Amino acid sequence: MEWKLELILFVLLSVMAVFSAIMMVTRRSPINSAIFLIINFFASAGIYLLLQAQFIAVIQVLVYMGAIMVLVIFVIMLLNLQDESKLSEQFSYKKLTSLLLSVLLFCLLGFSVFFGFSGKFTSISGEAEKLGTAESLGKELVLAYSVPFEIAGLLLLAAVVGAVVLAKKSFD
Amino acid sequence: MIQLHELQFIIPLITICVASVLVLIVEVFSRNREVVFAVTTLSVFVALIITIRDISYSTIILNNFININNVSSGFNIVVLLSVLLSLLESRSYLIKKQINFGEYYAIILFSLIGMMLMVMANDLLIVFLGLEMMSICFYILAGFMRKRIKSNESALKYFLLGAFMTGFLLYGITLIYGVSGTTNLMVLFSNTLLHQEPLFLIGVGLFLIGFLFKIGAFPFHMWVPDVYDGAPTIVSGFMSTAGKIAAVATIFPIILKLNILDYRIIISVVSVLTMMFGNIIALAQTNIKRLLAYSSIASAGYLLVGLAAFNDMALRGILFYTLAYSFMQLGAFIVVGIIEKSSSDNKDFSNISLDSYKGLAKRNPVLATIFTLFLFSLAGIPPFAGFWGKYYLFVAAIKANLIWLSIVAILLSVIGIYYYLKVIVYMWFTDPETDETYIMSPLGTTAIILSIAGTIFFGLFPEIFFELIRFY
Amino acid sequence: MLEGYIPIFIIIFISAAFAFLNINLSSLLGPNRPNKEKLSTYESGMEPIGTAHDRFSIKYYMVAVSFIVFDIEVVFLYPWAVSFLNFPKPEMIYSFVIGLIFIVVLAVGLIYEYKKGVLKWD
Repeated sequence: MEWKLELILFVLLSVMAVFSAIMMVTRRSPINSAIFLIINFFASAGIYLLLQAQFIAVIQVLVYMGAIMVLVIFVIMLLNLQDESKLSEQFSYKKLTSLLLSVLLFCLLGFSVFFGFSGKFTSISGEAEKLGTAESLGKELVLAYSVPFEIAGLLLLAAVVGAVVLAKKSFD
Repeated sequence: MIQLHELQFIIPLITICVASVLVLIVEVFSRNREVVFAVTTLSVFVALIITIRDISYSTIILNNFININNVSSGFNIVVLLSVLLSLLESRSYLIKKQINFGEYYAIILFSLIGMMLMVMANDLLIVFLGLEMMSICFYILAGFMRKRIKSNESALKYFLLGAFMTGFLLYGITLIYGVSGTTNLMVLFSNTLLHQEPLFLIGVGLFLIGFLFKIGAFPFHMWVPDVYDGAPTIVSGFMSTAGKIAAVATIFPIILKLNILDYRIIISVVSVLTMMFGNIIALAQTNIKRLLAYSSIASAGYLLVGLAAFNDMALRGILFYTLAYSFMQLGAFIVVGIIEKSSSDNKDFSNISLDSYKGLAKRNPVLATIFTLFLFSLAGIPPFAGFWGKYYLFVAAIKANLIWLSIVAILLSVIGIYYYLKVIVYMWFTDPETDETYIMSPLGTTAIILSIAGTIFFGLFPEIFFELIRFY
Repeated sequence: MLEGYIPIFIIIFISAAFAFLNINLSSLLGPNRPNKEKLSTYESGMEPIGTAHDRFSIKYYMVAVSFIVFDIEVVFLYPWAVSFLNFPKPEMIYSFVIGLIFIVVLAVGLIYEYKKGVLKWD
C-alpha cells in the first residue's frame, strides 16, 4: 500500500473523527460535547470529499455543522442540565451490560463489514468525480427520484406542522 | 420520468395528499373545524371507496417506486378503514379534551400518506420515507395534549426510542445497498445469490429490527404501554391499529418474499417471547389502556407466528388478522375513550383504571355488551373475527411443520383469555361505584356500530374478505 | 483529484489561524498581572448568581426548527436549480413541474407558520 496524499488525509481525518466522537461522549459539559460533535462532522465532511461526494460534503458542512448544531445547542440550553456529573458518574450493572452488548454489536458489525467489503472496492471509478456534483445529483433527483423528492417535501411540511403544534407557546 | 397516465393508479394517495394540504389551508384561513373534519373524513372515505373499486390493479409504476397489487391494496383497505373509524370518534373526544385543533386532522392525513406509501413501496427508499412520515406524525399525535405532562412524556419517550431504532433501520438499508447496489425490492427478491451474503443477512436483520420496534415485538416492546397510556386514548387506538398494521403490511410481505429460511428460528423465538410478555404481564394490569397495550403486544406475537411459517397460508392469515384486529382493537379503544371522556372531573386521564368498569352493565348495558364483544373477539373466542385471524395464522404455522410453535401460541392465547375475562367480570358481576352516564356522539356511535358489524360479519363469513380483495 | 480543493483548504486554514491568533494574541502580547479582584466575574458590580447556562425561551427553538426545515428544503432545491438549464426541453418542463410542486408544498408550510404567528416575536 503506497502512501498517497488521499491515504494520508484519510488516516488523519478518521483519527480525528474517532477521537472527537470519543471526546464527545465522555465530556461532562454538554456544550463541550457539542463542540467535539462539530469537529466530528467536519472530519466526516472531509471523508466524504475523499470519496468524491462533493455535494454531500458541502451539505454536511452547511446543514449539519450549521443548522443542526444550532438546534443541538438550543436544546442543550433549553434542557438546562444542572447536574451533568450525576448523569455520568454512577456505576451500575445495567450500564456494564449495555456497554458489553454495544461492544459485541460493534465487533459483529465491524467484522462483517470488514470481511464483506474487503477487496471488493479497491479503487474509485473515474466517473465518481462527475457523479458527486450537485448537477448530476440534481438530474437524478428530478428524473429518476422525483417520487421520493415530492414525498420529502410533504415530510418537511409535516415536520413544520409538528414543530408548531408541539413547541408554540400560545396555541390556537 | 413519470407518465401522467400512471397517476390513475394512485388516485387514493393523491386524494389524501391534496386533502392534507387543503386541510392546513382551511385551518389557517377560516379556522372552521367542521369543514376541516368534513374534508378529512370525506377524503379518507373517497380513498377507501376508490381503493376497493380498483382492487384488480396490479402494476409497478412511478419509476419502479410503487408496486400496486391486491395484497398491498388489501392492506391499504384495512389501514384506511381503521383511520376512518378512529376519525369518526376523534371529534367528540378532542372537543371534550379541548384540543380540537385542525392540525390534528392534517397530521392524521400526513401519517396516512406515510402508511399508504409504505404499504405500496417497491423500493427501500420509499419504505424509509413512508415510515419516517408515519413515525414523525405519531410522535406529534402522542404529545397532542400539549398541557398534560403524561402526554408530553409519552411523546418524548416515543420520539427518542423511535429515532434510535430508525438508525438501525437505516443502517440495515445501507448494508443491503452496499452489498447489492440497489434499493429496488423486486431486484432484491429475485437475486437469490445475494441471499447467501452474510452482510445482506445482517442488513435484513437490522432492517427487521427497525420494524419490530414499530410493531412492538419483544425485545423492542417497552415503549408500547407507556406511549399508549400517555397518548390521547383515540390516538392510542389509531397508533395501535393503523400504525401497527401499516408496519406489518410493509415488512411481512418483504420477509416472506425474501424467503430466507435462516430467519425462521429467530422469528419463532421472537414471536414466542412477544406472546409471553404481552399475555403474562397483561394479567397484572389495573389500567385499561395499559392492558390493551399489552394485548396489542400479544397480537404482534400472533402475527409473527404467521410470519415464521413462510408459506402461502402465512400472508392469508396476516391479512385477515390485521382486518379483524383493526375492528376489535379500535372498537375497544373507542369504548375506552367514551368512558374516559364522560368522567365528571377533567383531570389527567381519569376513568381509565379497571375500577371505573365496575358494574358497567348495570349502568349502561349496551356499552357493556359492545365492549364484551370486542374483548371476546380479542381473546379469540368464536364466532368473532379475532378467532379466524388466529385460526389462519396458527394453521399456517402447522402447515409449515412448526407444530411446537402453534401449540405454544394456543396455550399463551388461552392465558390471554383470563385478563379479558377479568374486565368482563368487572363489568357484569360487580356493583357500580359511580353513577356516571355516558354520552355517545352520533359519529362515535357510527364508528362503534361499524366496528361491531365488522367483528361479527367477518367472524361469520371470513372468506368474504378474500373474495373482496381477490386473494385466493 | 484533490488538487482543486487546495484553495479551499488554504482558506479554511487561514480563517482558523486568524480566529485562533486573534483570540490568543492579546493574552500573549499584553501584560499579565492577575489578582483576585481581576479574576472575579464582572457583572455590573453585582455578585454573579448561578451558572452561565441560562434556560432559553422556547421561542428561539421555534425559530431554529423553522430554519432547519427550510434549510433542508434549500438542500433539495440547490441540485434541482443547478441541473435545470442543462435539460432538453421536455425534461426541463417536467423538472419545472416537479420543482414547482415541491415549492408549493413548502410554501403552504410557510403560510401556515406565518398565519399561526410563529414568525412573530410577541
